[in-house]
Amino acid sequence: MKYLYDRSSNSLALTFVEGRKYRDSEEIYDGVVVDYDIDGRPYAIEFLRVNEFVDTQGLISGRPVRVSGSELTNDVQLNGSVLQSWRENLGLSRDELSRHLNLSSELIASWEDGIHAIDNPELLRLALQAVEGNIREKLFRQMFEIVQESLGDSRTRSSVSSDARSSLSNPVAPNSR
Amino acid sequence: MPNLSYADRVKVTRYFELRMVDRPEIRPEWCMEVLARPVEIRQQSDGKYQMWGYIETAEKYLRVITLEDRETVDNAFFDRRYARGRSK
Repeated sequence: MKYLYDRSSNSLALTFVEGRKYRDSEEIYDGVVVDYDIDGRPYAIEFLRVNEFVDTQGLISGRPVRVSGSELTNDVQLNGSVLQSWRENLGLSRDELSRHLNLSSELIASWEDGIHAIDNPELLRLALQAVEGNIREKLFRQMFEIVQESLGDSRTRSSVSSDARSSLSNPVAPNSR
Repeated sequence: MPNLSYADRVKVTRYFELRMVDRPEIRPEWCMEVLARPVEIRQQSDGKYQMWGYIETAEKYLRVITLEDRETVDNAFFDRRYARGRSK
């Protein structure tokens, strides 16, 4: 599960299952689009003018953020580059991670940049897994609220007549460019 | 033929590039086709433009959303509802 939010595009895509083969999409309400896979199963929802639907405060803009599927499994050797990739995928800055771990951001930078080796990778892994659990729980809650809010919103607004709905956008002649 | 990215062919936003990772079936040349010969254009309330075009190869209607300049592509998807509401 991941989300992609872009402040300048004012769009948000929530992908519930990754790796599905895309077939087509359906706009279930003006500005709310659902993606279907080749078997007709919905797997993503997108908000084209997201600020009309949900509160985006706290969402990371400009890159995909994984909400589930940790890359910090026990069989992965924890080194500086794994740490950096893990941190970036969670959308954490070095400063933020240093606050979570109660360590200096300089130390984290020195691990990630390969200046120093991680002293006790197994202990650090446990600490990072705990941090990850807390963050993902928060993200899940946020995603759930977004979907719930938008579905409630579209249900309320679906009572609007189709004429009123079409007036939300202004038709332009194709050759009026 | 070299495998060109979207950015090699059309002006796109960062969001579009990242979003199309999940819709790789939509080809850049189809977006160009819709921009060049849309069957319908609508302006959104935020100033962006939506354009539709029928893609013969895919046998589907493609909706392309551009920024206000009507060139920079911000989104694209096969529009099931548009296809339903329109006889080709």
